[in-house]
Amino acid sequence: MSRRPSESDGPSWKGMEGFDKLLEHRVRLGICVLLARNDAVNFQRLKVLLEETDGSLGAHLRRLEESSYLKVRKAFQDRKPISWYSLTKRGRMALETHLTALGSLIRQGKRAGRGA
Amino acid sequence: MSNLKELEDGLGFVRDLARKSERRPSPTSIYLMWALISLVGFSLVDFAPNAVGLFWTLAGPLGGVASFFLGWRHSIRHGQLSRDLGVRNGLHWAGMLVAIFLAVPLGATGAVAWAEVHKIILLVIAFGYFLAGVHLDRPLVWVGLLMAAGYVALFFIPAYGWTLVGILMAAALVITGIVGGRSDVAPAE
Repeated sequence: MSRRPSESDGPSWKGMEGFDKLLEHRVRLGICVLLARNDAVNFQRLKVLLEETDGSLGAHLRRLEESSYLKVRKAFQDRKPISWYSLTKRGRMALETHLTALGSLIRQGKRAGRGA
Repeated sequence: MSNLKELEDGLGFVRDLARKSERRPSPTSIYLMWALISLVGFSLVDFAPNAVGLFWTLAGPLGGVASFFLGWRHSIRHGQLSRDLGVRNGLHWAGMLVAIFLAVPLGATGAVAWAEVHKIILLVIAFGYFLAGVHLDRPLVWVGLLMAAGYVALFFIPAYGWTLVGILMAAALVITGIVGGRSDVAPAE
């Protein structure tokens, strides 16, 4: 049984340029990546893909929504409520910047590792 | 260095997640519809050759439009909407349909006998299904290969070869649709 990631699991990259504090957590990063690759994904599909509980996923989605990284649209399917999430322009830009910074840091780290 | 490992793990998680999201169950209804269309359309070559052109002229585009709506409905039920995937599917199948229609003048002008034009069209369809398997929905690879085998078999089967190809293709599509359609359709909240 592997340990689930937590808020404290993020590497110590505070203060590093381009990194987004909100996307430090891998679940929030995962949500944004999934929404960047699709026009919209509903709550249940996100739950299946991320293997999160309703409460945990809901909390992560709320944090992203409060920061205007994603928007939610409520709909009904077979008379049951469905929440559809999609990435905002702001969220997409934040994700791109964060992933670029992440890739750059990994490359730097590898170069430093080879040089040592 | 452990920070670097954590960063790489994080990226690996995201990569796996993206891959996982690509594995989407196939809409069974589309496969069943094309199984029926193929069975009728191919059998017509043996039983009513004069009706083949009219049948495919109507069934091809109408089946495409119906597939679009069934695919869209499936995406909504599945909880994952991707315009990009829809466009990729549309371009692939529309491209195959255009290639088929472009083969028709070969027969219409008498440059190639109609019996051979039908075989060329089957080969185009087999190739189209194979590429769909490579780029869109992996189980279609073997449907394409089976159709290519059917194309080869037509040279050796003296009678009712097209009916046999139709039955084979329909069976392959039904099996692919049912196996691929065992979905994890997301229930409502």
